[in-house]
Amino acid sequence: MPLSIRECAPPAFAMRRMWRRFLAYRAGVLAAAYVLLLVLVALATPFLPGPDPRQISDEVMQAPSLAHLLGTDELGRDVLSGIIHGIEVSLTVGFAAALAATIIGVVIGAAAGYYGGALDLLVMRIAEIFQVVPSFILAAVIVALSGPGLTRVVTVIALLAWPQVARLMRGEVMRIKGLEFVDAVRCLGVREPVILATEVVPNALAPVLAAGTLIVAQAILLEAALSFLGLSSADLVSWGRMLNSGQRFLYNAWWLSVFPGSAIFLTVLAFNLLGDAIGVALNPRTEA
Amino acid sequence: MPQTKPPILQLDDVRLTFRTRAGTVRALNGASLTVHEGEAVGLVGESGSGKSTLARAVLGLNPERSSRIEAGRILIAGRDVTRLSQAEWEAARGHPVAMVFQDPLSFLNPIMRIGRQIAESIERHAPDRRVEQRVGELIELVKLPSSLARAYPHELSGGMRQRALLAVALACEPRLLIADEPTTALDVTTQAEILALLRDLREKLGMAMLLITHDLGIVASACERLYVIYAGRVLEWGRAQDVFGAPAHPYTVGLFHAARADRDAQGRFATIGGEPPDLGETAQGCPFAPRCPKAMAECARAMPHASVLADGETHAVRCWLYPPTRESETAVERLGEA
Amino acid sequence: MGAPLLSLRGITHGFRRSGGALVTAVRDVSLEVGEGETVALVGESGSGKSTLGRIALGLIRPDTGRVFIAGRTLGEMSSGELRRARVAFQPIFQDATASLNPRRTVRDLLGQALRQRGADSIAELRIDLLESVGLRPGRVYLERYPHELSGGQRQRLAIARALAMQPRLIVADEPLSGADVSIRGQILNLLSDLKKERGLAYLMITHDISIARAFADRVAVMSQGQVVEQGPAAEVLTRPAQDYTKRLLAAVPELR
Repeated sequence: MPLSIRECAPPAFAMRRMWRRFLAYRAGVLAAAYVLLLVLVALATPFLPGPDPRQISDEVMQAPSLAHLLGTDELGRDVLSGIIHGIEVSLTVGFAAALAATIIGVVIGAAAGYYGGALDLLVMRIAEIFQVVPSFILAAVIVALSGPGLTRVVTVIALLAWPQVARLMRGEVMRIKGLEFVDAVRCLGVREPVILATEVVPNALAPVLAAGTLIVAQAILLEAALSFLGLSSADLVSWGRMLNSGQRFLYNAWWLSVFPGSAIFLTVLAFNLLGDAIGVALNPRTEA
Repeated sequence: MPQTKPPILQLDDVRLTFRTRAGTVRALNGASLTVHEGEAVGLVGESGSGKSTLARAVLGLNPERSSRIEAGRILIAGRDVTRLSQAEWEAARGHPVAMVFQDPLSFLNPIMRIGRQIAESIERHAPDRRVEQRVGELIELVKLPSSLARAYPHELSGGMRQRALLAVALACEPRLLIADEPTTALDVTTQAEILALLRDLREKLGMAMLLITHDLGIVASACERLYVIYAGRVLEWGRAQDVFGAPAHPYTVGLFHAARADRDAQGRFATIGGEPPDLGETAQGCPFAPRCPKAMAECARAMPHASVLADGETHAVRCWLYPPTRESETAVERLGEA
Repeated sequence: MGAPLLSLRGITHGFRRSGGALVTAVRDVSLEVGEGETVALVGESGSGKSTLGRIALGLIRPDTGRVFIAGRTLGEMSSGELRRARVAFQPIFQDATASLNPRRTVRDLLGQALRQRGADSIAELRIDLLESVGLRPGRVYLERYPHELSGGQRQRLAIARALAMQPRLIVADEPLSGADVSIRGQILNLLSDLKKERGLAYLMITHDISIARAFADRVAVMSQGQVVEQGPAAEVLTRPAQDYTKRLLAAVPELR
């Protein structure tokens, strides 16, 4: 009987229920606020007061103080300024890689799931190969061979991450293509590619959105790791790079490692929680 | 025909609400119903009528957090179970009521053999019994091949699953079996087999049954008395032969025509106009009034008391077309409490 | 009389189970539906009646056997011709909720069908369609999503969409099973009105004998993938020749 009770609900109920499920996931709301803050700071970075993060000065290896809230490094560069400027790199890499991986994954997964057969077999085998290879090692090798650069890092991360999206998309598309409303549209004489694009894919995107958010987190972590190994261009201010130069002084200048490390940790955690929250919100079976 | 046997189940003016974000839903609006020992009673209603909520209320199966019995009483074999908590329900061993559902799969453990599940049910109810022998008896009772004790639920057909669930339910030796749309998911021939089995079991075990269904045909073939429920209210009740012979409430009449796909002189199929009611609204009058072809001014104002119809004290209706008389009110009391 | 609207000849179709075993769902079935005729396909679940319906709609290509649309086989047609011919057969499914894309409004759902047909003045036709299935006044429904309609209204909307294609045959797969008893009469009246007004033919797939009896000109009884008996409805349902039909009729609880 609970079903028929839900049917008495007013029209906008489904949307609101989605919102409510999202809000009920407290950690997700906190994470969303944090991510929003990051984005705002990144956008405002050029207008913020404070020293250029590349600016060398005489005040080397200073512990956190009022003049330098998070201290300075061995060349006298301000750590806080570095972390703020690093947001841009992390978010750019994260969003660009996730977007690229999601687009590739959606297209390939949808085609494989809808048309099946040899195409499906081929795509899924390729996806498996990407998934069994340890992604970090592969990324490191590719970047080491082809040279550093933000675009290369993004490309490599996207190439490594699309199979997750493709698998998810394939499953959803396979489920939805068997539903009656797709058959009904087929009986209207609509062509198959149009059915796939206008009927099936829009209904399959919800879980992919959650997965895409998780990929942002993976990408940020991977970029940091590559930078940490020195596999990114030297003139970029990035958290991984700061961590790389800081770790040599871990015992006499802890702030050089702890602050960039925390930035990475918090940001990756936030995107993971956000992805979870989106997943929960989009799943109508979870009760808030 | 006054009932001689004592009631096993009595619902007395039960009002039950669900709290939802959309507001309060009045699932039961003063529902009364009696099942006597050994009797087969049908509860007929459409989706949203409250028939399953009523059945679940009897076993305390409505969610404790969101549902509340606002008024009225539920008595099982004379014991008041209206306000039992979840914990008290669980402690109520040897409960005389068992239930089977439309979808047996959601009530059978998918990774446990059928025989084991029946055995667990026996152990919970009467741990001192010789379990193995009893499992065999129960499987035989529901006419399943004994080899199926070692089968898993997914290996069975829909009809066999319903039999298996019945065996689990019967392990508690219930005096009342509540069957909620037990055959709706089944084919007609399988449905006929299950209904025959239920009839057979009742005869053998002397068990009472409350059969919840939307299908009047099933009630006709399986029940002695019936209640017609609409928007959480019982509109008409009585002996099956009386109600079927002369349905009184316009809703019941409409249901019968619709179920038979009757046509009028112009060849139109019989319909009940309009849509089922919104249970969120406070219904003052008769909930069927907005759809009723014979609605009068009184109907929107208040729900009438029951009136017993002329053909003996076995058939009653709540409808302004049959104004209650003083004599009939007392008769209704007798009918309910007998 | 020309060729029948739909003719199925010697249709056999099987499915491969996940275990790999081949299950024959439909076995050598021949069936015809003439212009304006209502044929009820009666049987229990697993009898193959829904598979046969999907074959008639062109959603499944049968393993063997031929499907004729107005006398021409599907094999003779180009894929464009096939798409156009198939449009003359429209489905109504049991579960109207599942047969409507949840993300499209009523306006969208009907517009899609009308555009597909190449209709002009879509806005007017949309309203006409809604009102012809009893959703009056039509404009109040335009912006609603399927989940904002009641069960009966959803089934009406599904029927309106089918009508948008100006079909000659409606393949209705258990169109009343999802509806409450009190709604059944409304839908049955609508279907029989449309039959009268538009000369529609129906292939009515149902397990409900009372619907077949009330609605059909001819009845075909299916069991285990085969048509075991077919003929005029009055004859098959009152004097069944086959044991299976007798058993089926006996199993229905009578309400008289």
